[in-house]
Amino acid sequence: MIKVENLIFSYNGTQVLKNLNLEIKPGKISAILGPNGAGKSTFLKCLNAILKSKGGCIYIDGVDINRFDLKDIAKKIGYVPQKSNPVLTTVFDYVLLGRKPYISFGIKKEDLRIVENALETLGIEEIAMKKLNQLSGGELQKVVIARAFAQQAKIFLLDEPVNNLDLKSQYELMKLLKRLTFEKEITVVIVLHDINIALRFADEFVFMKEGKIIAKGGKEIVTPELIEEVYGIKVQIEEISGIPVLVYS
Amino acid sequence: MEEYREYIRRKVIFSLLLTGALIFTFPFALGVGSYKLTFSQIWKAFFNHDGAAGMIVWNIRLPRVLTSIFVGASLAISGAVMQTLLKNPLASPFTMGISHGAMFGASLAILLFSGSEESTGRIMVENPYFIVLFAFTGSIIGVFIILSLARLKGLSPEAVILSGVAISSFFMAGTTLLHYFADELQLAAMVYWSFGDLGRTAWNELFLVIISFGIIFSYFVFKSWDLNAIEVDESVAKSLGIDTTKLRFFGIILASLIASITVAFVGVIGFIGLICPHMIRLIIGSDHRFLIPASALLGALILMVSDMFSKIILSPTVIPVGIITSFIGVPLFMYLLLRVEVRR
Repeated sequence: MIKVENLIFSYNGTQVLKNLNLEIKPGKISAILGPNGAGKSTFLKCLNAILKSKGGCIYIDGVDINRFDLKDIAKKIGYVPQKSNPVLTTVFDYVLLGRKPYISFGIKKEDLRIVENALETLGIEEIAMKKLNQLSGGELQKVVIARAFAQQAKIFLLDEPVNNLDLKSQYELMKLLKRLTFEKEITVVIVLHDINIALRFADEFVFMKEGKIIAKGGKEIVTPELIEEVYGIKVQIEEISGIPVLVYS
Repeated sequence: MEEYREYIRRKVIFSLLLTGALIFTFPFALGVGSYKLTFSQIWKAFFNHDGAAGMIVWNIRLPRVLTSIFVGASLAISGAVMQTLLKNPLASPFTMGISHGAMFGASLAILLFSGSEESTGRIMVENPYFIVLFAFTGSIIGVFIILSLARLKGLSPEAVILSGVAISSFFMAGTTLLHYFADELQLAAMVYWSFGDLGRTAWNELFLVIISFGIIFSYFVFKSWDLNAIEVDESVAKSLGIDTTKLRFFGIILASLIASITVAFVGVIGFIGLICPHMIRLIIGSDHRFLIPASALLGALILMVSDMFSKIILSPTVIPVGIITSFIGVPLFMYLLLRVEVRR
């Protein structure tokens, strides 16, 4: 579904992404992991052309991304940024923004129905008329994801969506994403910091460091050796009730 | 969905109420002045251009009241868009150095093209259009310097605001220099120009203000969704298919343009552009589909009422309306500051 070939991105003369090659599998959750400054967020932004790559190619369903205009990309890929500003608007209005690629000025009944659906999908219909600045961190993230659903995107790019959430909200949000990935047949690319969350919920793993992809593959690639190489710390990986868990040694 | 419809209906009703208030106040605004006009006189004057009442309404009152409406509306939408595009609640039409640029331009025109008449003690400017033209050029030069910097060097919205401050100080220094070289009467004219006075426009100038307002207002309303998106987040707006660089660039140019036009004709009128959008955001939220029209209505209403006050307070002396808006604006601004923690 997404294929990345020799992707290069540089900012003010410094190469931030160096020759990335990756194939993102459809219908799965792919976690992008790595230390701060590895280029994870930049990579995510290149994937939907928020940032224009300086070299290489990105193919969406086999078509070069540069051949789409921004609106076409918006109909295929939804993006959830690291931090969302709680602006003075209602949840409904915010989710309605997801219809932006489809509307020029007037909204149709259809748009309102899709927004309602998106709210239901995320289970937040009862907060629809609340203001964004009245929401908890977990609710806000769900609203932002609902907006991507209203966009009717098939690919979701999420930049550290669980960072500022408490344990329960983290768990709930990831479980929801996992369920939706399966039910709605979407593809999720998610930047994560917590390797344990990744091990619990992600299907595919991409480890980045200093603008390069160090390793990619399924759960089996997550080894103490790899973690040491990427993060520079010693860890053990134990299985608890069949789930691999990373333990600092 | 029904709840949302109701919510939208409330915003529409609020906008209609503002429109009603504007229409209701309009005849009062026409009546106020050193020559008091009753409603029936005004009504008759509309169909009869001759006679004292007809002359006053058609030549003085109507242009002046319409000027207050369209200047107020222009400044308010300029402020609303600037606040969104520059991501700063303190942004206003004058953030881009527009007022100081205009002041410098006008002062230069006064210095270059005026000769004082000894006998009357009044200043004569060869052609008042020179002042308008110079004021407009001054303000637009400032805007273009800032925008070229932003474009070439990729300045952030925060840096754009700071360059506005720098440009303002520069023009201020220039104006002070001109003050130094001006004679007494020129100096008086320069200071008087900066007060902001709605009586300077006749029909021709008024048409220009109305047309530019009409075009730029329609553009902003049409771009409401884009503005809503960019207010949420720059990268989110991009991910929704909006060319944010283009939107910000043209948006700031048009918002500056409409402010520059009004400033060139009527001088500096503070606080309308800053206050009105904030009040509207507080009441009906920041959905630009409603924010822009409602800000325009409120700006028009506030400036029209301020102009009435400027005639009443020290009657028969007419105080420049810029002074009134500043006096009303500052306490209002303080109130808003305490009421809402300004966004961000």
